[in-house]
Amino acid sequence: MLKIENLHVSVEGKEILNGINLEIGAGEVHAIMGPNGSGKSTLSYILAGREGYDITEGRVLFNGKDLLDMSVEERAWAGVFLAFQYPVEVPGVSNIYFLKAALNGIRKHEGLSELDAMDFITRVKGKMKDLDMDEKFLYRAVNEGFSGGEKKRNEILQMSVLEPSLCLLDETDSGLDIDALQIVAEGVNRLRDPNRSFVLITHYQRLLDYIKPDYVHVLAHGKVVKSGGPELALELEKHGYAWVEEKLAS
Amino acid sequence: MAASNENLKNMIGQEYKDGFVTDIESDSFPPGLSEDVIRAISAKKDEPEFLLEWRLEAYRHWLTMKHPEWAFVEFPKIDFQEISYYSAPKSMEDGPKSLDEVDPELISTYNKLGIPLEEQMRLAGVAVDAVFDSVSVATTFKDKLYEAGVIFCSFSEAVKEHPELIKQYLGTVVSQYDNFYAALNAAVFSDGSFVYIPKGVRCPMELSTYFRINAANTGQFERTLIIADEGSHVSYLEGCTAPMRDENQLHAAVVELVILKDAEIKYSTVQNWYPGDENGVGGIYNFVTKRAECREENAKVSWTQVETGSAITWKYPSVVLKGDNSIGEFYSVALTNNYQQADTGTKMIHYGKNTSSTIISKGISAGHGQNTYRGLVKMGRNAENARNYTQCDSLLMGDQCGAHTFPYIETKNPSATLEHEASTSKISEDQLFYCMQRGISAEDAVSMIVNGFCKEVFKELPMEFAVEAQALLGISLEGSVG
Amino acid sequence: MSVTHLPNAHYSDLIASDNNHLIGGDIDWLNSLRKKASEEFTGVGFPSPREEEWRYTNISPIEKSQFALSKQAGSVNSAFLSSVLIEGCHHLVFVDGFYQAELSSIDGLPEGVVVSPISNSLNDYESLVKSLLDSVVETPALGFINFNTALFTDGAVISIEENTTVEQPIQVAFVSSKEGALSISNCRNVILAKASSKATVIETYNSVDDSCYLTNVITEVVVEPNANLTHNRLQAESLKAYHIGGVYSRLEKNAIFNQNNYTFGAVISRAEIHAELGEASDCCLDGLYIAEGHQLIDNHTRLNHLHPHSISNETYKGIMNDRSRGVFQGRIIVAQDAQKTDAKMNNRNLLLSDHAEADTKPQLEIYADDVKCAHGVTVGQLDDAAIFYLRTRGADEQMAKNMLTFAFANEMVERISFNPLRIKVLEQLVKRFPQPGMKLEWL
Repeated sequence: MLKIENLHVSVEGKEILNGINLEIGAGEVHAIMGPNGSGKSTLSYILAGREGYDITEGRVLFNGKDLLDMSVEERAWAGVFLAFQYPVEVPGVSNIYFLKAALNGIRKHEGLSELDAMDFITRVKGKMKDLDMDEKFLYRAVNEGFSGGEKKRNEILQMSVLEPSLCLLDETDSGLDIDALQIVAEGVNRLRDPNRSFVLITHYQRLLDYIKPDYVHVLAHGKVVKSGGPELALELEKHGYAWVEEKLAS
Repeated sequence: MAASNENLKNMIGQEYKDGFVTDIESDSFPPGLSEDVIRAISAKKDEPEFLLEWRLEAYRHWLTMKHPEWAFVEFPKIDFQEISYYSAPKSMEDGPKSLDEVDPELISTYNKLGIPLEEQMRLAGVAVDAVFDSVSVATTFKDKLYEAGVIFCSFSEAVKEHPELIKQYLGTVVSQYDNFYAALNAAVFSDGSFVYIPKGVRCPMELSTYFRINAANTGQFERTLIIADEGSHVSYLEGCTAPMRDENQLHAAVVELVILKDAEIKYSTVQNWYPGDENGVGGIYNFVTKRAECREENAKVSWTQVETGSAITWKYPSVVLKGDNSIGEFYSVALTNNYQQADTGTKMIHYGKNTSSTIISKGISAGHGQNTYRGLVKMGRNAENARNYTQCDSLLMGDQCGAHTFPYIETKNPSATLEHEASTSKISEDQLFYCMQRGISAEDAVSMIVNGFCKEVFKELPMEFAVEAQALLGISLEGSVG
Repeated sequence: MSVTHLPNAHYSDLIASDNNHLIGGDIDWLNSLRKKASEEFTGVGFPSPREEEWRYTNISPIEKSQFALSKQAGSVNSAFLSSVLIEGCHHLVFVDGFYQAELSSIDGLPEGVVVSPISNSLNDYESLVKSLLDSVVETPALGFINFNTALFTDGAVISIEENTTVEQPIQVAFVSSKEGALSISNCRNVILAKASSKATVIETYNSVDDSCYLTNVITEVVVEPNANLTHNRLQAESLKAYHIGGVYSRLEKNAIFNQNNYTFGAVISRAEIHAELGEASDCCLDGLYIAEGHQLIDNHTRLNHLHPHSISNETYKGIMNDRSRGVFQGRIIVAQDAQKTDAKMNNRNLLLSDHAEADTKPQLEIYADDVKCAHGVTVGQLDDAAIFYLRTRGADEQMAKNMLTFAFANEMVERISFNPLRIKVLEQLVKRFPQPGMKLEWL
């Protein structure tokens, strides 16, 4: 589904990613772990198409197409979804309107007709129930005045409504208490599907207790320094990132 | 993030949809201004002597006045002798008695603008007075309103039919000496709308006036007078458009609102005069004096305006809060794009006890647009417990535009409380990226964010207008995004 | 548009008369500067209330008063002087516009630091004075600036050497004597904080008695890259006097400038506080003004953000009692190049009497798009609930009001880090809002 080849990225001359290689198959869940400043968030921004980065080398293929060639919204239409680490407030724009515009934008590009308002509401309300979200959130401005946990839940709600094929979750566990984390994780698990892949970007292993990854990669200094199965995350948790550095050095 | 700025810039290229010219034979005065011209206007309208005298007094005073220079706008000096002060379709000469007698070309003009004048075609809830250049073409639902006791007609007709009301109220809110353009208007005004809502009547439908400038080299000087008698209520809407021309045209209107005890007027404007082209050529100079007087207790007035048109806008819909417990509100969205300049705001003058006012102003600047909020909140010596809340926010799109905020606050009463907040920001890259990542195109995202920014004002507009206002902003934000 | 009225003949005559009491009469560049200012003043005069910048402040009482020029210093007794001088500072003392060496003390300054009256500097530091004089002023108070340039008798020259910190604040004390009644003193200060230097300057204005006179003073400030200058102004003139003052500053790249403006005196007081902000410079303007009787206190501030990444933070608080008026104009201008500007302004007013008045004009003038600017204004009275609460705890009504008013003002005073200055400002507060049993050291 996603193939990252020798990706080099820099900002204002400073290299942040230096040669990432990663392949993610359909239906797989990959966790990318790493210390602060290792380039985890940058990777998610690059995949979503944020400006301000210089891609100096490498390429990214998404279902065989050059992802880096597509605009931000084209990637969204093609099925790339980024759950933001810090979801943005959009004052005055109601959540429901925002969701509807987003969904219809994607449907339009799939050649589908716009969803009728009643069908749409029913669909959204069902998903909200799953995430234990109050319906009143629909009529509030996007993320405005939401608590950290509410914002994260709202991201997962959008993900479940938009049904993307590649879900990038950037530090989705940060700012969630244990109950909220479980609800969010269940939301993600419900979406697991042979045709949908996940990339979980996280600093800690605790999210992985609830969402079992197929692969774990450790990112350090802009490079994947170690890859393995779920057991790698546990080892990391036990020994800390310094352990990776030591292993690298030896 | 230069690329995104580029996106924004492309997005705000605007196409003016109502810029056509109606090909119609007009009866226009040659350019020039003198006492004779004023006498001729008055004679055309068959006016009583008192009104002619009133006009002449205004004119003589105007001659002694200096052109005001304080507004934050720049334009070449206007030669008032080069303007024609009266223009009317020839076919209106004989004063058509009913819509059937009105030139079909005029009716089709209004149809084209989406303002059908045939009553059966209208939404039943809105009555329209259609003003074309210097004359009122038709007023719909007049009879039905009359049954309810509501007088809604052109100003000229009111002068003929209800001279006592005109005599009693004309110039009592905005005197004929008030300011340079108000004095000019008093001297040469040619038509406009008149509304009287009698005691205790809730006007059964929305009233609206649609102003259209068509003739070239003509100024439009209309005058609106609305009187809400004790315990009455009316919602009034106003719209306006003009053809695209390379010359600037002057529109200097006066609106007076009189609100008596327990009465309420809701006055909404969607101003879409031709704004000039993307190089700042042409467009209307919109220099308007609008003022409401809450003359008695518990009176309430609410101004809502959406200003997207005009090369230069210069207007401050104001409220004089004389009656105790009276309420004034001002909700405004002003968009300036290309080389448009807007200097707009309000004055809330509190004299009565327990009076309160609210000001919500949203300015959007794009292109080379300059957008200025200018407002005065004054708490008089006797305005015990008066209250004001003011919020002015500016949104900047592009790096060539300007947003300016010039509030004046004068308080002479210690029990008055006043709060003023202002902020200026731009559409953030984060917001755009977030919306686009959800599959919303850049264009829709901007439009969505702008509409969100203006929401507090749009929700004050009557339903029909709210849709129009959003569409207008949408047009203004239309363009080519790759 | 600049509307001016006819220049006042009396003051034009003063300018035209043979003013051989002025310093630097043998210096060509200074003579021509004075001559140019004289000519401009004669053509334009003092500003009229029809000018936008002066709409709330009518200075015609100054014109009618027909003040004479102060031509020499009167006498000031040492007891009074010690009440004016702030402990722990270097002192430069000017009486009626003239430097008093015997009353001043400027020993122990670090190497390369200049603290001197202009009258003594024209020989040793002529080029320094020349480079600063008339280099930062702006036009809104043009009449008074021209009058000052044409006729200033003396003033302070302060230059802080590069990479140097002056530990003790430098107090520049302007005192009006008995003999100074019915005259104008014109002083001019120039301050240069060279790169990476750090210093605090305190200007004070006092009078030995309650006579009527006019102080017309200008301070020009240049803060070079990475320098940090704090400038305080404590205006406690006679309540019958007039005070027209200005602080005009230019902040270069990464400069830090804090201007604190405490105004208590004069029947009409007007201060222009202007700053031009260079790239990534940081400017903080604090103000506290308390007016009573028939006082009019007018502060006009202007923050001109010219380059990217500069920050400004402004807070002005006013308290108006009796029949007094407080006027505040806070103007923030963000030029087209000044992207990433972050400007915040706040003006809070408290009206204590039915006849007091507050006029305020916060203004944002913004030509750049990537900026964060905000201003807020409030006008109100003391909170009835708080008064009630204090009364239930046994304070009488006046005491309760004084406590709350004091607290409102003290928020600005608490920010003063140099304690002797803080005490001086507190004294002004305590005098106006007495709280029996309160001790200064508790504050």
